[in-house]
Amino acid sequence: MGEYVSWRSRILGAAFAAALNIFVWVVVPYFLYSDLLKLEPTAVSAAGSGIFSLDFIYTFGAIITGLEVMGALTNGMAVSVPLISGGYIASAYFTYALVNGGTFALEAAGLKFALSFQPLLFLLMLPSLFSAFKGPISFLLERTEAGRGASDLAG
Amino acid sequence: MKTEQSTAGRSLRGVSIVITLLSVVIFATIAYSAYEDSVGILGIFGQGSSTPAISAKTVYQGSTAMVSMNITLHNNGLYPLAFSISCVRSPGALNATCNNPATSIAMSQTATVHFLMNVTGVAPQSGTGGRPIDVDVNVTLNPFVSLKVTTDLSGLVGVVP
Repeated sequence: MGEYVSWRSRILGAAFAAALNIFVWVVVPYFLYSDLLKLEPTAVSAAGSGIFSLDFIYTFGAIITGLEVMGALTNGMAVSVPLISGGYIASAYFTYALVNGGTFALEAAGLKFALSFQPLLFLLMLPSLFSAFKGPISFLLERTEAGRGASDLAG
Repeated sequence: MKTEQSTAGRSLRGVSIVITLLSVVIFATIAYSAYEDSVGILGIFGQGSSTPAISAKTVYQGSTAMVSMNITLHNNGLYPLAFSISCVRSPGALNATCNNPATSIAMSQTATVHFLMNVTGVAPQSGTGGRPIDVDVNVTLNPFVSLKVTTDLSGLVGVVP
């Protein structure tokens, strides 16, 4: 079976995952949302299709943090793989939905702004999507004969 | 017992590192280009330390106002900069036709955009009468980011003394 991971390191990993994910997926989007409201109160309603709200930030922040923390607590077990991959997929969707698929519009100072950045959004989501795919593949490779080098060719 | 990672596993880790490094480099260069180009574009309106690089002239013929504008842009960024202006027919706006100029500026290059607009239904003694003349200004940092700003140019069609 896999390498043994102590409960102490799991709990420390879970605490670190909780702090990091709360900062990245809740605190940062919250301040971005607050800055947008200060810029133009009507800007938030114009931006996206109404998804960009505190409820959305808190909901998905909790989902992503919960999945990553559970993945860290079950580190070394097979069940951690879908939990961590689920966290990456949720973070990729959160990023996509938060910026309305790379099309962001708002009105400020009598001007209408429309920002389009789909290629950049894909680049932003790529590490999360690749990590979601890499986890299960690495797990399967480490635990099957197909992933190991041939013993008669070693040395 | 710790098992050695397989070749495929190491390859996946390598790809993950490459993707992350590539993302960081591209984001850093885009942020730098966006900042430099923003300073350059705002500079054409006289903001910041750059001298204005925009000139506009309006000629009246009866109830038609002909606006000509020259905008000189310099690309200080690391990616090609595309710039275009087009007329927009908004509700309640004056009827305007434009030549819809567009240009693509390579790195460290300068280009001048000649914008021509004919606006009908204008009275030289009363101007636009409060009706807007909307245009779309498109700025694209190829191929990553595109910004469209819709602005009112009715200020260029003022009352003739």
